[in-house]
Amino acid sequence: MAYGFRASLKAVPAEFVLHAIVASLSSILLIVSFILLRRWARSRYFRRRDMRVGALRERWGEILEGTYTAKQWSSDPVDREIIENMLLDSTAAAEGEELAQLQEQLCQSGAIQRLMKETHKARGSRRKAAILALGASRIPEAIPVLAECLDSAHAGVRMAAVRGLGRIAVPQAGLPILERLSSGSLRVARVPLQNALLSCCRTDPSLLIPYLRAGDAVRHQVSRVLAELAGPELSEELRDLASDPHPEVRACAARGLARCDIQFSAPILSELRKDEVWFVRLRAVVALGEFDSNVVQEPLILSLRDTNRMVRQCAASGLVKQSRGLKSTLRRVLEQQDIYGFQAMVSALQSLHRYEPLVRSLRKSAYSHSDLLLLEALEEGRHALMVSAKKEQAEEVVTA
Amino acid sequence: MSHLLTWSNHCLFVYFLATNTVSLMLLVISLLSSSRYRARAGVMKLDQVRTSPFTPPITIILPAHNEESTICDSVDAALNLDYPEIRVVAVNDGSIDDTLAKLQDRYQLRPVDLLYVDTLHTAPLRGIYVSPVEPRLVVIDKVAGGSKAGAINAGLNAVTTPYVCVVDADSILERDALLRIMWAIDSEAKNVVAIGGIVRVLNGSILQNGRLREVRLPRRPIEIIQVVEYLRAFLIGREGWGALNSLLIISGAFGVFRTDVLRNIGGFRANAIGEDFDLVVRIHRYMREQGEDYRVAFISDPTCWTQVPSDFKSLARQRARWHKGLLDALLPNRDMLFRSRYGRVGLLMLVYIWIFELMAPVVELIGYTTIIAAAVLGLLDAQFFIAFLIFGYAFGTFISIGAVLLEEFSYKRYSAWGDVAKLVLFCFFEHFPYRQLTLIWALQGILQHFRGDNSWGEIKRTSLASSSSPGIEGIDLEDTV
Repeated sequence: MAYGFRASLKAVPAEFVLHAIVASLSSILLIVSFILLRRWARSRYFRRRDMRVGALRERWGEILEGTYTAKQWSSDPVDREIIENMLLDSTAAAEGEELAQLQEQLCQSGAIQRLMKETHKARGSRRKAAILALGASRIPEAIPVLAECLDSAHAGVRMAAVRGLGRIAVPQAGLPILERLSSGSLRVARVPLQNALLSCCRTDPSLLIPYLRAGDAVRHQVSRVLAELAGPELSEELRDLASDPHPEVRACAARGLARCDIQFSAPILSELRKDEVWFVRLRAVVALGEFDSNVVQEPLILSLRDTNRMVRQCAASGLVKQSRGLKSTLRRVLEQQDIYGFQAMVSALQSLHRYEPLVRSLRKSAYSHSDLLLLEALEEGRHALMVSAKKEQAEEVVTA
Repeated sequence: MSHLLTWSNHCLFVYFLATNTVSLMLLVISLLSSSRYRARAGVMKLDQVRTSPFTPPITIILPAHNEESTICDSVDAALNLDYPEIRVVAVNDGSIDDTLAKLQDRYQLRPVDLLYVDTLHTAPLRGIYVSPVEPRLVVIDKVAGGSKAGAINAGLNAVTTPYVCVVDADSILERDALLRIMWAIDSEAKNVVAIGGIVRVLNGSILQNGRLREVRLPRRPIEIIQVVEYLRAFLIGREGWGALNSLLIISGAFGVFRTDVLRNIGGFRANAIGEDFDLVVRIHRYMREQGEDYRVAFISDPTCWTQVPSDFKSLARQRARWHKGLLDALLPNRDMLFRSRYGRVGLLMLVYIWIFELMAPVVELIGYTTIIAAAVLGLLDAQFFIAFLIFGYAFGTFISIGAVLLEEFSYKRYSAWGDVAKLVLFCFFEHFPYRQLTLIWALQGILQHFRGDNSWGEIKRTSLASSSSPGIEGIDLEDTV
């Protein structure tokens, strides 16, 4: 090794170091020149572009009506880029006649044909940008083109296609995603997929139902979207999902049931709050807490005895948020003789700023024995929490 | 003797070449990676993250020790972030100044007794406060535990969201930082367990109501050179290692983590000095041992602006602490070295950090000594020696200017021509004499570690508004953590 070093040093030093110095100094010079030139070129480009954007905004009406024709503006590459971007941005929020007008301009300018071509032919980020822009155009003809991209071997292209279809936001655009998802041929990140399905199925959530019979992973994804979209019209499907063997699906059902009629949801959620999996119970309790009704009080009070702290806390928050009968609820909780549950109630009262008003009202009206007992319990509960917060484990405080 | 010196100089030559080759490689990877990211960011629709029901809530933990001058700005900035569901847990870690009083005053805090389970053991709590005017804020007041890690753990005990963001109380996040972070997490097919954003120097910029109004370079040379240093560290180092999925550091000033993973590894190591580095190494260890497919990522445009030391004394303490923290995190995890079980973390990254980060000041010190000795003894050609030094300097400067290029190429936060000219100019000072100073401070850190001095040291702080507005002097505070 030492011989190697010696040999390399003999051969390398003077010449190598000299070359290296020259290379480093030249690179520094090149980078600095590049930075300066780029800044100059960019400032010139953006100055010109900003001026054109202002001018074209003034002619927006003419562009939409077609009096400033697509043929005219598409001949200048800067104008074409600006107007196409403006048109694509506007299509996202447009509906009806306005949308048709925007899409017509995009077609006439040749933008759609160009994007479709780039979707097939371009590579890398340019291809992905074209896919997304095609989706943003919301043209129904783009659906089969984007659906093809879902089969790409490149994960980035598949993701762009999912996002593109999501931007089209019509049920037909959701179908290719659902079909590939259920056949197991589509592998993309979970959240963009769910977002795309959400926007596509917003007007027709029933589109998702046939796919609830797919495998566990697919059923979970589809039911999660359904939970966000389902209303009373899909309550029967949610009931079926509530008895699904997959816990994630049951949790989604609980989430969706919060949007259904209370008389329908309450019994199902009351069952789900006894589920063996904690996060299903948690979802059920959160859903129950979203209803403001006497019907949910009993199951929520029972959930205060749950083995999971998060479930107890959510049950307590749900009870404290109820607009009526807080005192009677607290008495019922006291009857349970469960200190964990009572602590959760005191904690929820404090964090929702209802503790002080309640104690004040109890002090004013503490003529009855039950009110006095409640007042004492609240003070004790608060003290126990204070001790637990100040160091000891909550469990130790409770046993003490 | 002459053999020993020659052999030592040969080794140093190889070490030097290896370091520079890695730097060059990282620069190239970062250029490619940031241009890819720029292309993706061009089509980024943050609005979708903002409106999606699938966007998970995040809790921001702000550990604060004697931060009376910055705490309200930091909490305001956190609460004003553009994100659908945010909770903020500010932890007052036994401050002896008015940190808690400032918060009480600003948010009308009221003491409450919330259910708080000390899952991750910390120093005892003195109280928990909530605000009637800002329901998303919880303030935990605890006895000083002697480390930032303990304060973060106390905050972590109060977290109920699936993700947690840790931000220094002397730092502010850009308004859309969390949206960008979550966009990156959502787009990743792999399970992202930790993700860091870029940390930039706040000094000199203009801040208004907890928001950054204008980005400017600081005035003091000691602060400008840190801007260059941060650009190099984040835009080349983190970006490059992140692209290779070998990231070992997520800055303590700004990182987002999956709460369950943090809890499973026992939170931050309470007595850790370099708690950020220690945490990421332990996350890698845990995930590898569980056999899970995961990713620790870096994303370079959600920005956190932080105050950097503006005097040599504070800077020296900070750098000594950083190196001490590095040693403190590497030693307990030395069993991961060369173990295939830990993949490229054990086989590559930890080895690199041991040799080229931790040992760098020692190797450099030996290098300077032996080269001078060899030159004095006539074993080294003086011309070659000078040429070698010039090459080292020129190459290092080239890499630093490369960081400025990356900044210009991708993010362009410094819009004024004068600022860019200053950045380029200060690149020429980074490798001489600034690097030699940091070498001394790092060596001090190593010595402090072996002496058992694990204190954080004092860092002078000024209020965020005054440190960021040029020309206004802030109140100096001695911050002893």
